[in-house]
Amino acid sequence: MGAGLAEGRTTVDPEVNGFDPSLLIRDFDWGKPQRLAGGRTLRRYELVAQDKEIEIVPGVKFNAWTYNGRVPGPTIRCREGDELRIRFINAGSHPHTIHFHGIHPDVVDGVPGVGAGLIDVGKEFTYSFTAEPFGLHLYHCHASPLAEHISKGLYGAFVIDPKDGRPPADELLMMQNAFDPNFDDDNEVYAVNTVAFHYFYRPVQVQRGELVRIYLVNIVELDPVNSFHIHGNFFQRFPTGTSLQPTEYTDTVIQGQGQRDVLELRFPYAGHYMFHAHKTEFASLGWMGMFEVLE
Amino acid sequence: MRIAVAVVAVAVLVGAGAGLAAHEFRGGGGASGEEVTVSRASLRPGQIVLTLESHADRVVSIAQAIVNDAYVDFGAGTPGSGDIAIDYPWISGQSYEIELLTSTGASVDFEIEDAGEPS
Repeated sequence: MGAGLAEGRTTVDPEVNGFDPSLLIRDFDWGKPQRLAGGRTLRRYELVAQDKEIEIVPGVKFNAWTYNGRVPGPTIRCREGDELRIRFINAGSHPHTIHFHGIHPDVVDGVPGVGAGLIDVGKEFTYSFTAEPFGLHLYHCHASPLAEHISKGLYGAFVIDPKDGRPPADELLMMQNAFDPNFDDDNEVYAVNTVAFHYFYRPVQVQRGELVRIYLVNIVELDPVNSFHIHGNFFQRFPTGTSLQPTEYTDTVIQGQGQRDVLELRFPYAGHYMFHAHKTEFASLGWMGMFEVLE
Repeated sequence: MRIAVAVVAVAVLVGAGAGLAAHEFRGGGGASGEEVTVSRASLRPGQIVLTLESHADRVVSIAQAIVNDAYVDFGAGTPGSGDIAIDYPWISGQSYEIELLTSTGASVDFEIEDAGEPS
């Protein structure tokens, strides 16, 4: 494949960005838990908005806005019914918020003009709410202009487990994202977890026969539709992860902006299997990866 | 072959002085309002060759090349010539939109409107 990577067929050095997509894909932040009277769990998290230059395809830098210095931000993980306290500190250069998808009162919805609204530079606010419903959600800045605040990198996944959990699996977070480094309202870089072609050159290693669960989120701006396709296999699809019954057995799923799906599959054969957007433009511009199935 | 050239918001790196790496270009501070232009495009079997001119006394580093919305392999053309040779299986009569991404994410955009047609 002609990936067009100027410095050879490689990916970005994780040392440059300070985060490694090969580790980020399995990095779930359960917060600091505390047992409450009555048996419930309180979880505390801390998110810091900060500006950061990141490399999105070898040789090309992008002035990102991040939560905790990484794109996507930390994958917040909890169980349905947990009490959440998310302390947000704005160390960036513009007012920001955190808007969580889920069910909660308006005062913690993270939109301008409601509750704490915009959090100014140097200020902080703690979003407190109960985790519901279970499923795969997301969070992102809701400051205006919205497309800019999202496309610069202020987003992350928000996973609420069912009270009794899901079956044990090798779990992967795949945030479909894109970047427009020349500001022409047309993305030049597409990826899963930010770095173009990363998983093509550093395949995602999984075990043959083991249940693999993919938390798939589409946060791409400027393009209305994205997709995920896997080679040599099919998966069960749980839309938004809000039911434990799958709705479809397929090898391709289409997602609009902000849409999420939980996917479950097992690889029956060892070897290398591509996964990529079936919008071929996105695949050719970086949204292309590989599973390496080990015996 | 007809080509159309449009330079979009080209940003440049400040040069370190001597020793430019491949894909880096320094101009002589010319009068052009555009900092980088494509002065010539030619076709070889399996390759599109572009000659770039930088008009600013600073260094531009070309990090990636995109042809028709796909990253493609490219390399320096003739050493010292300012040429970039893009590996691409072009087809006579078709059109190609090319974006060269600089290290800062800015781009030089241009189009080959009709590959292979004599200009």
